[in-house]
Amino acid sequence: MFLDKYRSITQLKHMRNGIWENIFKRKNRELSETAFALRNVPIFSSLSKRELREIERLVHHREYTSGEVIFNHGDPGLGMYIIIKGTVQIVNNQDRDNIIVYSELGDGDFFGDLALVDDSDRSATAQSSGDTRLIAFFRPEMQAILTRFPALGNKIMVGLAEVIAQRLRKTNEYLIEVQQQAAEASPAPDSGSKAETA
Amino acid sequence: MRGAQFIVPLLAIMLLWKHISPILMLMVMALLLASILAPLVDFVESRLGGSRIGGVLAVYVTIISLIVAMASMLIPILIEEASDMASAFQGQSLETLAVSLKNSLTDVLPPDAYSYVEANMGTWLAKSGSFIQSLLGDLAGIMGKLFAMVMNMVLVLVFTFILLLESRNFKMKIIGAVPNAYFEMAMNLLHKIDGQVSGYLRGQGAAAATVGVLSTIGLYTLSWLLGVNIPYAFIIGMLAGFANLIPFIGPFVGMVPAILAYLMTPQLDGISAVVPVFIITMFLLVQMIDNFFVSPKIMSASVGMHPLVVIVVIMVGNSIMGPLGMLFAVPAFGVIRVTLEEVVWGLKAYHIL
Repeated sequence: MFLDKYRSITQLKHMRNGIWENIFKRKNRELSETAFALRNVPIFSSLSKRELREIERLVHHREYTSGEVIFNHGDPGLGMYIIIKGTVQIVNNQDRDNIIVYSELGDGDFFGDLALVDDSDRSATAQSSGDTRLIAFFRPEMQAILTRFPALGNKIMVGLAEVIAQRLRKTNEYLIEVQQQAAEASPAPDSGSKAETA
Repeated sequence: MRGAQFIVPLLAIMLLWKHISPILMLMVMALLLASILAPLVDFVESRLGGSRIGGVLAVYVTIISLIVAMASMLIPILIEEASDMASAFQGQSLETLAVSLKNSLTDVLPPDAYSYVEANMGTWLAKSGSFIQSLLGDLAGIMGKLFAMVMNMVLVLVFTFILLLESRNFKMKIIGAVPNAYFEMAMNLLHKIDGQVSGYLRGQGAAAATVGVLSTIGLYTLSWLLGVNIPYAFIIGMLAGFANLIPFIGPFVGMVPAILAYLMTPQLDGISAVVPVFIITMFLLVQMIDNFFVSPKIMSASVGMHPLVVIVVIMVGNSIMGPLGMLFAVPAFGVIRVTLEEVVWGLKAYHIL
């Protein structure tokens, strides 16, 4: 359940109705595949076309075959990935005999975004399942943007903060839900005696 | 085949090493200079609204203007001091200079030390004579070397310009060639090495400049305060700054010529033993300012080296490139060490070691 919620947050995309799609069709055509993929990620959604092109110059393009590891659990985190085409599994493979698949991500999804904030170790392994094309945006580039183009850097940081805040909110909601379910499943031990005294 | 793109150029480099090694050396120098200037270019670029070429050009124009301005101010002082030095030595052989030095030392040194100096003066003289001879060579050779040096400097500046302009594309190309399994590690290492090396080089440069400027000011101040003549203060100060690149030995490189210059110059009130003590104290003070206040603030990487390592590195530098190699051996070793430290960190952090 938690993993489904996580996935729904990582898949946040801008809702556009038909009219707006039409109006922006011409503009979208001018955007490259990379810039388009970037704009669909909430972290970069508030960026102008010019700013998206600036980010486009800094991202790395990678291609993975089925089963190739993108990063391992415990590696120092360096940055985020956006799936252009293909599928990526987020797994716990610490026990080789019992690999747990946390989530399966597809076109337009992103992962590893917390590594843009600090270099904490990766909490899971990411591996491609099938031929996959990714773009990678790393912390050193993020820091360079913050130094060179502070206004653009701030926009990205606000976008990142919004994604993290939303994820935290969802996590809180989920925790409350779990607590309520636990409370309903097992009544308080002294509730009976209280009723008696009343 | 992914490996072929590395093996073919590597084989070509090995076969043509003799011809391409001087150019590679210039490129390494350009790489170091570019890594020193990159943060400045980045800053100017951001102020110019993201124009890289504008940033690079602005930094180049500023630096070249500064060099020209400084040269127009400092070259007359250098020429004056050099011509003073030349006229002081004119018509005097090393032997007559040695006699004047011996006469000065009789007033300064205790009898035991003086007799030691007197006994060994002949040997030192022979050694220094051959050293100077080898250093100077013939005039035509010097002019040729000077021209080659200027040309090399121009080439280094051109390489640096291209590197500053295209560094991101070069990095992208290098990273693009790394296999997926090592992609993140390579990216992380490249970033860390870049940061550490440029921090180390900027630190070394700033420390050398500080020591150079403080030594020059110190020598002029001593001359003024004590009312004595310590000639060539500017040249000696600059020498002390450059020599500061060499730990342990560097400080003495400025100190000894300053004392010798004082002892070999006729003084109004005669030679005093107190002045060399003041000169030594001044150089020690400059070192203390550098070691306690300047270097700890600007050095990003831990660069402490064992004295034995420093001596071996300097000897290796001498055997590779002569006196220039001695000067740049320790910083070059520092760069290699910082790089290796980061590589080892990367291999451990990514569970390869």
